[in-house]
Parts: sequence; C-alpha cells; structure tokens
Amino acid sequence: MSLSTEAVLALAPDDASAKAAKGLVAPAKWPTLAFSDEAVWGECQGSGSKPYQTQVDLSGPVFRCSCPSRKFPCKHGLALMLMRAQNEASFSKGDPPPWVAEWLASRREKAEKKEARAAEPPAAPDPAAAAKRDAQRWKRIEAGVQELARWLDDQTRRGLASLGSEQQQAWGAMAARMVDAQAPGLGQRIVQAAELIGVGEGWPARLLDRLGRLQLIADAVPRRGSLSPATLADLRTALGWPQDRDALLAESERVGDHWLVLGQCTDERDGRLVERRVWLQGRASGRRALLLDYAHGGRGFETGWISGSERPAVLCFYPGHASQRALVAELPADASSAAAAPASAAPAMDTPGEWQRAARQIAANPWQPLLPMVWDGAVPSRDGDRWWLRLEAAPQALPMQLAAQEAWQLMAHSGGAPLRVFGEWDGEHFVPLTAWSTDAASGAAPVWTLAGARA
Amino acid sequence: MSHWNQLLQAALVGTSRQPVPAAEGMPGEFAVLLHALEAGEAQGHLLRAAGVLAVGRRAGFIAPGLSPSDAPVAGADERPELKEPLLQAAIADALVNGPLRLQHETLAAVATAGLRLPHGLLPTALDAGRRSIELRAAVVPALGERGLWLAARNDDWRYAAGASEQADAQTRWDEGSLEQRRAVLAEQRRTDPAGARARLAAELQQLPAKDRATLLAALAVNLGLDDEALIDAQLDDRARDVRQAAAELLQRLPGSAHVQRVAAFLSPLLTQAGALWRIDAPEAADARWKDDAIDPVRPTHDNLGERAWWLYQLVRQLPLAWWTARTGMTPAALLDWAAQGDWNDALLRGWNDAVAAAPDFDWCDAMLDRPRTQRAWTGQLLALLPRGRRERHWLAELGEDGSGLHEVVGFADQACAPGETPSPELSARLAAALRTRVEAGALVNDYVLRQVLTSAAALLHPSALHALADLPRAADETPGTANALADTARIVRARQLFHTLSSSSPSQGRP
Repeated sequence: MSLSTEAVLALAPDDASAKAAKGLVAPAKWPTLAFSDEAVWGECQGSGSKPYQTQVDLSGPVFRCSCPSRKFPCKHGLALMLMRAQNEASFSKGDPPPWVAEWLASRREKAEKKEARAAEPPAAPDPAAAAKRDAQRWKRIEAGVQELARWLDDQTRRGLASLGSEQQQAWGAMAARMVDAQAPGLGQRIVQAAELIGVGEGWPARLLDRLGRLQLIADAVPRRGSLSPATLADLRTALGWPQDRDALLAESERVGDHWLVLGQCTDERDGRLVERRVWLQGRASGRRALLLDYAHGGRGFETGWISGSERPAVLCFYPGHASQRALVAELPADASSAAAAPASAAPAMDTPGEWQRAARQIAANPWQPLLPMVWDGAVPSRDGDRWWLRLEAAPQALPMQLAAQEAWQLMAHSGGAPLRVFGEWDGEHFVPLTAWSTDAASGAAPVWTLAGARA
Repeated sequence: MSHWNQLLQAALVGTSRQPVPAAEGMPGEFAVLLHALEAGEAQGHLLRAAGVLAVGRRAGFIAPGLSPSDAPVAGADERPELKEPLLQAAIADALVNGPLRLQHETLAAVATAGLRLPHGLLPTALDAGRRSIELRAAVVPALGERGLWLAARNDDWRYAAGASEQADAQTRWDEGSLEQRRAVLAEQRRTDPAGARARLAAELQQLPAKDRATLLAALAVNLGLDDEALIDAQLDDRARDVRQAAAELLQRLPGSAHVQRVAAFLSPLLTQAGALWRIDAPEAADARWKDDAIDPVRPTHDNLGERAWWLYQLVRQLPLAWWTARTGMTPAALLDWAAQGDWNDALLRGWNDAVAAAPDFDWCDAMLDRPRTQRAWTGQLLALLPRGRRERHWLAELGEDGSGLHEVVGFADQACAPGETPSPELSARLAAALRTRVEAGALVNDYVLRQVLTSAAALLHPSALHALADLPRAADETPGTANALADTARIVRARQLFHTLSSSSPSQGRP
C-alpha cells in the first residue's frame, strides 16, 4: 500500500506538524530509509547524537517513532510517508531490523489475541447483574434530577432577568453535579444554556427555550415506568446514557443501502477531543443517518468519508423514535474506490416537504439537537452584517451561521444564483456543510464543502 | 401578546413576583395539554409550559421573511476557468504564502492564457489584492465576471469592483473602478489623444485628489504640446500629488511655458568664468515660484539646508537636456563637475528626481557608472533603463569573481517590475553562481544569501530555474537554512508549473 501526498497530509494532527514534516522531506537527513511488504522505516538525524527511529506499519497505517513529540503521528512519521509517496527510489528493500521486527511482531500478537477473544463465545450475560446496575444508575439519576428540578424552579422563581455572568460558575457547578449523577447529557445542556446568558439581543427567550426543554427531560425521569421502550431509549440518549456498542450491533435495526455522504463537520470539544458528524442519506430507503465519532489527542478517525460520494454499507440505528444516529455495521472493504458506486447529488425535497420532515422528526423526539436539511434552489446572501440562506419560496430565509471566510467562498460559488445546500439546523441557525449546483447530475462532486471537514 | 411572550415575561420577573400566566386563546391539543399542566405540580410549572411551547414552536417554525434581494446574478463568463488541479493548488499556495513577485506571475499567467480563476480561489485572490496595492493590477484581470460580482458585495474588495469586463469603454469609464478608468484613458490616448484629454478635462475638477493624480498621469501616453494648457492649470491644485504629477508631465515638454519659467529662475544661478562653470543657490525665495509647484518651505527634518532645498526644487523641475545644452558638457562631465562643487547634494538629488520623472538613458548610464559610494537609487535608475542597457551595469557589478552577487540580485529585484525578469544569459550566470555558493555550504553562515536565494528564485528568467531546482540538502541544516531551501524549492516548482500554462495554448483550460 502506498499513500498519496494528500492522503499523508490528511493524517497530520495539525498544520504545524504538516509544515514541519515537509521541512524534513530530504533524503539527506535520513541515513536509513527502507521498506518491506509490511512496513516502512527510517532513521532521522535530530538534534541529539542518536538518530530518531521512525517506523510505519502499512496495515494501518500505524506510526511509531522514538522522538519525544506528543503529536501523533509525529513530523518524522509524516515525513517518512511523504518521501515514500514522492521519492520511492530513496528507499531500499530489506528485512526489518530488530527495532522494527519486534514492534511488528508485538502488534501482530496483540491482533491475534484480540481475534481469539472475539472468537470466544461472549461471556454469558448475567441479566440479573445488568438489571441491578441499571437500577443503581436510575437511582443516582433520579436523585440528581430531583435536585435539578428544585434548582430550575429556583431560577424561575428569582427571575431570569437577575442572571448575569457571575452565575456562570454556579451553573458550571450544577452541570458537574449532573455528571456525578451519571446524567452527562443534562450537564452538557446546562453548560450550553449558561453560555447564552447575557449574549446578544433576545437571550432570555433563547434561555427559556433551553430550560423549558430541559424541564421536560427532568419530568420524564420519574415517569420512566410508563414510557414506551422507544421513548425510554430517547430519554436515555438525552440523559447521556452510553450505548453498549456490542448490544447495539447485535440487537438494533439494520438498514443496508447505498449511502450518499450529505456532508460532515468536526467540532473541537473541551481541549483535545474532536467530535465528527457525518450525515448520510440512503439511496433506496431515503433515510438520513448521523455517524458520530470522537477522536482524542490529535489522532485521526478510523474511516474517511468523502462528501458527495456514495458507498454501500449496512448501518445499525440506535433505538428510539425517528432515530438518526447510527453505527456502521458492515462496510465493504473495496468501497473506498468511489467509482464502484457513482455518486449522485443529494436529492432534495421541495421546501414544504423539508419543513414537514423536520416537524415529524421533532414530534417523534423533541430532544434531538440537530436536524439535517437539504434545500434546493437556495441562494446564500448577505443582508446587513448577517448571512442568510434565501429559500426557493422567495421571501423566506434562514439565518446562517458561518465564518466570514467560508461564507465568501460559498458566495463565490453561487454568484447570486441558486445552489442545492445541505446543512444542520438547530432550530435557530442553519450551518451549511455542502453545496452542489442545482443542475448537478449523478456523479457530480459538490462545488463547496465546509473547510475543516476532511474529505 | 402570545402565550410564549407572557411566559417569557413571567420568567424574567420571577414567579415569586408574578404568577404563571394561564393559557388563553390557545387552540386544540396544545390548550388541553397546557390546562392539564395548570392542574399539575406547581414546582417547575413555568418551565414545563415553556418546554411544551418551545417544542411546538420548533416543530412549527416559519422562516423569517427577508426583503427580496436587489443584487443582480453574476453574468456568465466567456472565458473558461483554470481547471488543472495542480495549478489551482499552486496558485492558492502562492496567494497565501507569497512572495509578491510569484503572486503577480501566477495571476498574469492565468489572464495571459485567456483563462480566469476558479470560483473557489476568488476570495483568496481578492484578499491578496486587499493586502497589497501593487498586486491589484494583476488581480483584476484574472477575476472574470464572477470575481467582479463578488468584489462588489464586500467593502474590503471595493478596489476590484467595477463595470463588467465585457462592457464597452464608455460604461467602464462611467461605472468602473479607478484602475478600470485609468486603463480606458490610457487606451484612448494611444489612438485618440485629444479625445482622451477632453474626456478627462470634462470631469477632472469633480474628482477626488487620488483620482485626479492617477488619471492625470495617464496623459503620459502620447504626451504633446496640445496637452500643456490642461496640465499647466493643475500646477496650483490643492493636492500635492496632483501638482507633482503635473510638473513631471510638463518636464517632458521642453517647450512648455512651465519649463521656460523654471529655466529662467535657474539661468542666473549658473554662471561661467573662463572655462569654469559655477552654480549658486538662490539667496531668497521667489514669490512667483508657487505658480510652478516649487515649494519654498523646507521640511523640518530634511538634510538639505534652506538654500540647498530651494536649488534642489528648481533642479528637479528642469529637463536634464537643458544642462547638457547650456554647458556643452556630457552627463558624466557634469556629474564630475558637481562632485567638486559646494552644492553637490542638491544637484544630485534634483537630477535623480528629474531622471525618474523623464527618463534619459544617457544620464542613467552616467549615474550608474559612478563608483558605488557616489550614487544613490541604483535599483530605481536601473528600472528606468530598457533591459538591454541594464545588463552592462549588472555584469560590471557582478565582477569576474561574482563578488557582487548579492547586490546584483538586490538591484535586479528593485529594477524589474513584477512580470519582468533579467535576460536569460544574466539569469543563467546568477543562478549558476548561487548554486555554487549553496553547494559550497555558504548558507550556514551567510544570512543574507538565504534572502538573496529566495528573491532570485522568484526573479530570474524561467530558463534559468533548473539551476536552482534540487539544491543539495544536508542532514545537519539549521532551521533557517532549511526554511530558505524549502522556500526556494517551493517557488521554483510553482514557477516551472506556471510556465507550462503560458507556453501551452489558450484552450488549455477547457475540459
């Protein structure tokens, strides 16, 4: 396997690493450069006397380097793969030296062990123990929610007008209490609500909207016994109750289809945790799905998705009403060659149809924070100092949330003419992620994607 | 007032002071639900009602109306866009990372090949032009209709907003940007100087100062005595830039009244005793000077004294030919003569200004032939000469041993306007000399060489670039050396790529 220059640079944890790696692309700096069928390795002269030993297991690719950098992959690993892409002749073929062979062997051993474990029959589930764990968790959540309900009532008794930036800390403490009570979803909602205090015109209305919906979650917890399994699943998701991946893959609804990648974006959450949202739409089923992944410490994501491309896959949907979130259950390995499945531009509904869909989605589950929307004949425009997406039905427009640089790019592609735009709607702002020309035929790539979404 | 607003008001004031309002006038199932809440638990009542309404409002959201846009849709482009992905990436890189000369070359290559920038690069190109005024003349022709449309939407890019490229001259003059208006005027001067003059004269007084100076200077094309009256009238303009532009134009008309007046001021100061010429500075300012844009007030921090300042003001306004005609001396002899007298600084500075305003190649040559310590503005002087006449000075400066390498690259960088290069022969010599130094490891200690190397990579004739490609790299490079080499490699690669664009046919951009 050999990666292209672009593919290697896409693995860089940040721009600084990519830049530093480009500076190291000089075979003269590398006393050793070699490869085998399984790996590429090299020694790079650093500032110390002993050169850094850099190696890449091609099955991943997985990087390892003896340098002290905390970046992953480090600049040496990236430079090694860049040279491999650009200057193959500098590498000699050979048997891995011990420092490479040992690492490869240990990786293989671990993989075999993992396989062996997977092959073993799963430990017989103990329904009694599981039920006990669930009951304990509900007990903690219930206690936390009682405290939350009193606190919320207290806020409205005193009046939202009295809130100011000095309350931020108290709200942060309340959010932490919810995390302690094993309901991190509530904690996150409190943090997001606290960020609204005093910000922009009309903030009390936005805050009331948030707190009102939070109250509905708090009300649902004591009534959980009377809820249908699907509603209960939605409640658990809203509380931030983690889903057991294996159970999900084993039990929940599977949908096989050709999935069009509508768009994607990444958000950095508290420091080094990166959240990636990939939105898909099934060609036959018409179903829309959200793949939510997290990467820690600058590591990349396991599977890459190319906006506007289509690939066959079986998705496993989370339980609940009108569930959007899904896991990939089966992904044919060779599907990365996009040519196998000709891409097609996102099929759009008419404007009323898209609003109907959103209303049904909200009616089924009021706690989904984001809704995917495709608008045909949408014109990005600027009015005053705000960005708008004018919808086909003329005088209507959605307020857009987009950095100026990105918005001007989108404007450049539109030229005042309509585009087909996909994005996320949070009830207040529309964040465009992908745009096609309206006459985009099957196989057309998007004209614009939100930067930072890695293609 | 809607129920939501009633709830909001109660929430703001606090339920301890204002009770939760009853739901009135709400239709259907919502009313049933809200009434049921009123009968329920008191704690959380307000938020519970707000939550119900919030979900309903969200599900029934109606997008706000926006007044219809009066912005036009961008016109269709007749020119094809640059499609080659490698070139697109290289242009994007050049626009973000520079240097200016490379940016200029890429944009000019796109326009010359009959192509326009792809839509995705327009904001980057417009931003580059916003940062660098010098780049703007190259940005505008590469934009295409879409880019002009986009520029008109953003105040930061107003410099590029103008009439459609495809519009006729009258429309571009009436509605265009300053750069477009200047181009219309210069174009018309080539074929119809009188018509262009009339076009300018009709509007000149109503224009802002910057436009007056820029457009007046466009009369330099096909300048003749017919233009004198209009230009002479600008010598007492309110703005210094306009007065300056007018004086520089008139300097090129030796028969003009302005030149005659300045000569009359200066003549009594240049006297002959036997074979010796002698120059004196004015004893006092003359009230008539102001009609000829001569400034009697010496700037506070100028290094010339007051009388020297007056002399300099007179000298700079007079055509250089006046001196050779009056004294019978060659430019070289005059420079020698001035160097021996008391007023050398004023004369030299005045002559330098005069040669810049109305280039005289013999004077340039004579000035450049002076020893390095006795001349100023070497780069600017070289810029005035046609390329063939520059090279002699560069080769002399370079020396047999190549010791003047840094200076020559520096001067050439100043002398060559963006888009211009030294000759292929000189470029090859410079590139070879640079390569020899880099191979000898000179980058380690020679900080200036790093700068010179990257300037040369952007400057030299494309045929010499191969000598700067694949420069040797070493394992123990310092970051400074590594940066210089990486930058050089980047610029050389990009230029070689752009060169393929200008050497292929204009249809290259079509799919």
